[in-house]
Amino acid sequence: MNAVAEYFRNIADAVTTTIAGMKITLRYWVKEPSITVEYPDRLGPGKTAADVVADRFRGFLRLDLDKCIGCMQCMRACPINCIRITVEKTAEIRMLTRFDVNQAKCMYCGLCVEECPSNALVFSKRFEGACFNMQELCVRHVTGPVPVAKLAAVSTK
Amino acid sequence: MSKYSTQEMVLNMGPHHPSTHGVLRFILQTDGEMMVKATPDIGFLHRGIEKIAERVTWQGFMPYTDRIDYVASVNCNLGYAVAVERLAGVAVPEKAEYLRVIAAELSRIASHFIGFGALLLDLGAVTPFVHALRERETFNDLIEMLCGARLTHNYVRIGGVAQDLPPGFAEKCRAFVDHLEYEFVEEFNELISFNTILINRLANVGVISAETANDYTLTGPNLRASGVAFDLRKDESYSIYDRFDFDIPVGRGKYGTLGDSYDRYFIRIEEVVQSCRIIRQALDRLPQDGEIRTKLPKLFTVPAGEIYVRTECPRGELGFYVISDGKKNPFRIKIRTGSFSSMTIIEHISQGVMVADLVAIIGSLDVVAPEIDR
Repeated sequence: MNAVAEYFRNIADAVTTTIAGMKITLRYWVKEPSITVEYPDRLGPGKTAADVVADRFRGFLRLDLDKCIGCMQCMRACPINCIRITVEKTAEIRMLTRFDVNQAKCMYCGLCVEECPSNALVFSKRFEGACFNMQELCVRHVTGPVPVAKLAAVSTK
Repeated sequence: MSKYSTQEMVLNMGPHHPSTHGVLRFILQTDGEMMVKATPDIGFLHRGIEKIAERVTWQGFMPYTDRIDYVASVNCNLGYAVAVERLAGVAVPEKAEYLRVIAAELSRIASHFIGFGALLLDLGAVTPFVHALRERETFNDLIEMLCGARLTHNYVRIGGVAQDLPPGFAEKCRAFVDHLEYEFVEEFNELISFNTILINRLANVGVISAETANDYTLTGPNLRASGVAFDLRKDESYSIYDRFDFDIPVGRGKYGTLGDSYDRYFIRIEEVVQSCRIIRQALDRLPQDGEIRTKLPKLFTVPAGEIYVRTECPRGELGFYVISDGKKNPFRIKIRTGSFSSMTIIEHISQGVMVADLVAIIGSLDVVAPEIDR
């Protein structure tokens, strides 16, 4: 084909195919509803951030002290050692004196929650962890000595 | 010496260039607008994952495999799980295999969206990128329903998967793949794939022949775009991929030479359709009940030995070379990724192209920086 004709045909092709694409863009612009959710100000009436995530969302860890049997399985399962537990045995009762979860280090992999035999450690839907001091993200679940639960009493699995 | 002399100029592209897919650096030797050579400089995202593996438990390394290729985490999880299971002789329940395939293929689709979406973004077409990411958002919602995280999924476990399908997932997933196969792909092709400007930009750029691709151990879609029909899901089947009916798309040189950037771009769109077919079959045949995870002993150890297992990731072969000495943590894990192979060929095919075409070549090879460095 003539080089000049080829040149102009190319331009004509570019224009027609671009218009075909632009039609789709135009259709979306005019017809399709906006899907953007303005976080965190306009999530919807009465909704909080926890409502917009899935049921299985892996957020901050939550500990139910009534269920914790102090077995330390979660601490051993954690690949990055962000859980610290101390259990002291005083007068035949095992007391939980420390259960710290460093949420700043946590990578929310879920291995600890799977290991927990009594479902004491679960994920919450909370994920907004912005704060001014990194130490605030180290969540101390136990403030004073707490007696640990018996597995037979709390076992749900 | 004449008044005007020509000399080669050395330019740095990156490590923060937005079109280099992560923190990558290229040292360009240019002669005007033409490129003499582009040398990739890798290692900016090296995190020592292989070394970390030696001090975490077998199961504890699973979250780290998410970070090998964070765009397609489930595929990396699956590769590692298959390697350890073969070495330890752990059987995987039937249902878990189906769930793995569903999650892995969804992940592959999402990864290809980033792959061709980012290529188009590099070339200046912002709208198709947004269309691709809109579909990826549905995938994010699905995988969040399934395993609770949107990026680092950590879904596969040694001997099974983490969780069963949530109620309503199957219907949503089916609607998603139907929408992709019957609506989205057609619309997307009309929007950009058949656009003459894009074709002229990609066709005949960065041509890789089948021999060159083999020489540089190119894998995955990049190899198939050069006309070699090699897919580990079919040729060296792992998990239960041999039970599904799907085609291996290969490059055809539709608008230019076989193995050019356009072939590498278009093959990813075709693979999305094939993944949709696999997911639909897997959802149809998914057993309703049954175990999703083999019970492993509390102190899981792997018998001493070594194994190399390669699986098909969206960016090519992902190989895990696992050595165990019978303890509770791996003795050594070597990871071989597809992006690494893709990276080595850039120096070869960038000779004599224009600087603007290099962006197209890098984008079409679909490299992800953390996968190169690990």
